[in-house]
Amino acid sequence: MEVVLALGIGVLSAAGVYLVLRPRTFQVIIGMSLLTYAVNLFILSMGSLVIGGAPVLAEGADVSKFADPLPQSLVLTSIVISFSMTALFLVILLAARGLTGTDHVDGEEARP
Amino acid sequence: MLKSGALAVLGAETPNVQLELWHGFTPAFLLSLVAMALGFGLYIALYHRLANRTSTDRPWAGRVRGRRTFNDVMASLELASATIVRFFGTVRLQPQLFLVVTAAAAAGAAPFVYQAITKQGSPLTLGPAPLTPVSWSFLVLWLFGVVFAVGAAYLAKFHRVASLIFTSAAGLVVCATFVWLSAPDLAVTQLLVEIVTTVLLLLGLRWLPRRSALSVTDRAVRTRANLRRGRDLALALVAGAGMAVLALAAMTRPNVSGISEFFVTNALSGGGGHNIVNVILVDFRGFDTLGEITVLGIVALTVFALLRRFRPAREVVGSTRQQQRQDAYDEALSGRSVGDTATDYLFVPRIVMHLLFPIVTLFALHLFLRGHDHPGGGFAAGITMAIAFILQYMARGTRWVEERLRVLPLRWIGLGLLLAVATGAGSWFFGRPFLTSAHETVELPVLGSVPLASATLFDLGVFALVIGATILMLIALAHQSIRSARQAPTAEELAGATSDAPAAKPGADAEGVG
Amino acid sequence: MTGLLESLGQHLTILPILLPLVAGATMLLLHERQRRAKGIISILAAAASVAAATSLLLTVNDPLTSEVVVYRLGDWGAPFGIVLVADRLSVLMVLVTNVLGATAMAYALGRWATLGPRFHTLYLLLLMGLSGAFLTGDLFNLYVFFEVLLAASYGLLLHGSGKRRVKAGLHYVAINLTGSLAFLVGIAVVYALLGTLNMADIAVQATLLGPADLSLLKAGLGLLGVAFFVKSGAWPLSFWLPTTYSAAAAPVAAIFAVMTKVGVYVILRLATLLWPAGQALEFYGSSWLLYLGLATVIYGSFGVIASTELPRAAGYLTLVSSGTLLAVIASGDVAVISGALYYLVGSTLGIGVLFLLCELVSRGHAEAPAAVGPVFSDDFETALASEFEGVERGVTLPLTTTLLSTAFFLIAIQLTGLPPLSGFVAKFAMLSAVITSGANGYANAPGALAWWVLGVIVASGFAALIALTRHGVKQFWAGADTTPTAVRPFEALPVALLLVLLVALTAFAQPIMRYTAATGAGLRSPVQYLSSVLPNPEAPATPEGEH
Repeated sequence: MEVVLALGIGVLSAAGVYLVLRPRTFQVIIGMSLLTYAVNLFILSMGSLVIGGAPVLAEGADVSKFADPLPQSLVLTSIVISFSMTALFLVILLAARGLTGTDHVDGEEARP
Repeated sequence: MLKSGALAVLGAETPNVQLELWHGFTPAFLLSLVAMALGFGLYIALYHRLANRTSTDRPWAGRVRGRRTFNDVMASLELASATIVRFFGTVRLQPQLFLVVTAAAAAGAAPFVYQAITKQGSPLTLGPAPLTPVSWSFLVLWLFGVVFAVGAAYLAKFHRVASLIFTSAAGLVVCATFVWLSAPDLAVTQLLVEIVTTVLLLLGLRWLPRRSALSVTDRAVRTRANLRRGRDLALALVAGAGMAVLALAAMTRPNVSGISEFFVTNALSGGGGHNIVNVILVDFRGFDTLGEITVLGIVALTVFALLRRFRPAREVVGSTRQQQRQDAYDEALSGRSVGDTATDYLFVPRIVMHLLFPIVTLFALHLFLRGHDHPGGGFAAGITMAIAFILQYMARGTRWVEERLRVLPLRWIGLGLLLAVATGAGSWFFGRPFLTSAHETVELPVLGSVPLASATLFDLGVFALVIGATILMLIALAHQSIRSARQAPTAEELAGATSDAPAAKPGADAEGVG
Repeated sequence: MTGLLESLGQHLTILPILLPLVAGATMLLLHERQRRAKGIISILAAAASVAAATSLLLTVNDPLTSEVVVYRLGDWGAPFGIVLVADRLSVLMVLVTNVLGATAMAYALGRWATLGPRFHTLYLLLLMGLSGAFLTGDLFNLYVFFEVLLAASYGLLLHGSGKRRVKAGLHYVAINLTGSLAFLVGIAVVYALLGTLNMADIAVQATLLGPADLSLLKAGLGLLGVAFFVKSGAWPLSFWLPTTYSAAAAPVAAIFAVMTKVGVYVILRLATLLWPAGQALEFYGSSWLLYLGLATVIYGSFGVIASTELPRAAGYLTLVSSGTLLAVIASGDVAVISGALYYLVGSTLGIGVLFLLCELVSRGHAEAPAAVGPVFSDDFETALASEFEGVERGVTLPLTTTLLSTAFFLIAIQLTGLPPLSGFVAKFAMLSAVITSGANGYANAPGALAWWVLGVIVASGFAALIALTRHGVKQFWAGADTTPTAVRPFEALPVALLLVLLVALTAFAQPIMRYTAATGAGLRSPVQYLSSVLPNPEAPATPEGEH
């Protein structure tokens, strides 16, 4: 199962990196989203994978079987911050599109 | 002043130098007198020669034009520097991002490459921890995930909406993975954030230019573009492989007994909550959460400031193609007026969405109140409230919502931050550091014993800020679609016409999103 | 009352973070037009932060009391809770930040603050982020504060909008987002191997790590290093810097001068914590620091000469100063670090003043407003915006140009490292220490390298001299017939204050360098840091949060 998750992280990162290197701003923002998914999964996977051990204390819950709660809180903070940055990048993208008239990342079409 | 500086640097080794105006008849003074006498002598001797000079060249050195040499050297220095800077640097974004990603990949791979070459250090192997057995549904889930990710990458250039849908689907796969890996809080948050992000991106799509597959006939240009694409793809594959390998290597290490045990043991006794993740967020590491909501607030302010002066490109100011098609259809048929198609679209679901507002609000409050003991929390609750507003935008249109909006987002952001800080500072009165939490179980007459925690107040601050920030961003983006464009005056009008040009067709009089 | 003040004294460490936060949040409750109230609150908050930082400095420098002040947030001890650590280095950085922040803020009140909405809040939150990044002792908390200061910097860069700023902003945001992702991956790897996020605890746990995992730890640290290199402006990851800094408004660019120093600070902090941590990590990455630092200095020097406009040259000077610091830090020697810190203070303040001066000096040459696209009926066309464009207010003294040129002259001397100002003293201290420690510093490199470092840094000073003289001549001598610029007292006073501070830096060089020497010694053998943060590394900390 670790292999599947690792491969999934790898594919998400690869797709994200590919898009981030492309010249259109929309590609860059989608690439950023995919990369943040990959990184969030990466952080979560740092505590070893636990199935069915959600870290919520309840009657009779076996504490030793809990998943590591710290990476989860880190990922939550990361989700919030990435969400803010995605929204910000979107608006900068729109403002740049309006002011330069093009959606190329450099504000002007590449000289061939 | 010089002495102080010199003393600071040289310390004990400072030579004992005295700076004075008059040192007496030292050899140095006598030599200076001799030099001056010689100079005067030379001048008197060559006086006539100098006075009869016809050119302004200095004698014996007239060949060397000092000023011109200096200027030439400076100019070539500047030119050389500009060339070097242009060659070793760039102002384009793509090469810079390429460099950052390459640097990161190289930094991650360097120790292992070094080990492979010099045989020093530890090799890259899987750790000793046993792998969990594969669950077939998980495998199928991630097969879909891979398809979505690759699809999003492939479609992003020409089919933006499709690419966005695929990205959201990949996000759903991530959400399902969170559920699988025992992270219910994360799954809830990921799902809610996914919804808002997709809506915001959709709102923005309206302003981007149309993309059609250009037929580039120039073979050289096409080859160069394909080479670039290949290079980017190669780096992407390397980065992806690196991430996968790193993840696998880290996942198979035996579990380090680190600081998490402390959190698990003390969540209830020290923090007063059953949901350990939430207790970490608002109590143990509450300072992180304070920073995170500050980031959200700052971004909302920036979005608001940028969009106040938003100037869309000229070609997208009018109605979109879809709106024009709808209006043409409405005008062509008798018995329909312009705007009917937009109003009839999703007629019944719109009414349901409209009525959902109080229910979603209630759900948001429920998520907030249960956060400390069950998956939920201030952030999830705030995003849910924002989604309630999004539903109203979608159901009733921007104008309808703006007429009825009573939330002042900027105040909510400010109040949320102040509430969070005030909760933290409350512990100062008890002589404890910032953000020390308190919790008690209180006996209330009707409800019985209710656990109260001061962290809930902190969460309330988070809740208020998230609502304010997300709604501010939403309002700012949605408002763009109903602004009516005043046509910029043409040259004749500027020259001296009497009246302004009439207002152009109101842009996007939307009964829907964007 | 005294009880409250006393207890406030306990919380001194967190005041530089909380004061701007509270002030910024309060200002969101005020209307956009209440400029006077907002100005007063901002100045008060910034001044109070300076006072808090100074008081912290006196506490930390006092040999009788503890030299490292640790503030436990939430009353949870390290390594479980987040701690703020005020040692000599952090406090010095916080003080420099807040001094520059307060003066640039005063400058902005002149007219830049009204260029767009919510300037004050963004600015104060930037100061909060900077102070937090310097004071925190936790790696993930560092990431969060990095994001706070980055987000505020995005907002401030875009303040006033316009094609140039938005283009620069797009690049700036994209590159820093990628850097932040690398940061996160690095944190994740470090946590997976060491099980902790507290910096002091990381240093302790790294010594206990088995040899099998060491390469993986180095990979994680390398990723962290890339993120910090992006932030501190190392070549080849810093091409965005001159464009961004020259596009920003003047007071914003001035406070940006501190931002590269955050990257340098983090590298210095983590490197000195981890380098003593056992043989394998000793000086890991120092050769990269050295070569990239030198490359940055060389690239920056060429850039300074090649720049046609002064703000751009100032951006390249920032690169030169960053690169110098990175290159000399790599030696790890106490005397070198001491000189480097003195250099840091002088160059940061100097570049800040340079950005402010650039703007004042170029006021006479106004540009024609660019053609705008379709205009909306409900645009942000308040009296504020229209009063900014094209209308200049202020006093035009006959002496204004003379004063400006004198100020420029002083700054040029400071930044090129000529005597008698502190730039020279700092460079002399740094370079003489580099030469004398050349044998045992730069552990992975031969002794001749020290002479290369000397040569490159001196050459960079020379390049700066050429460029600044040329710009000065162009501005003040060649253009002598342009109308004198209008300078408001609000703008002249901060510049004058900073110049006085720079001169004071030289006059008080001895006590300051004694301080930096003590800082360097404390960094190189972080026993005091570790023992203050982790009181008892063996025994598990008992939970203090029970009430």
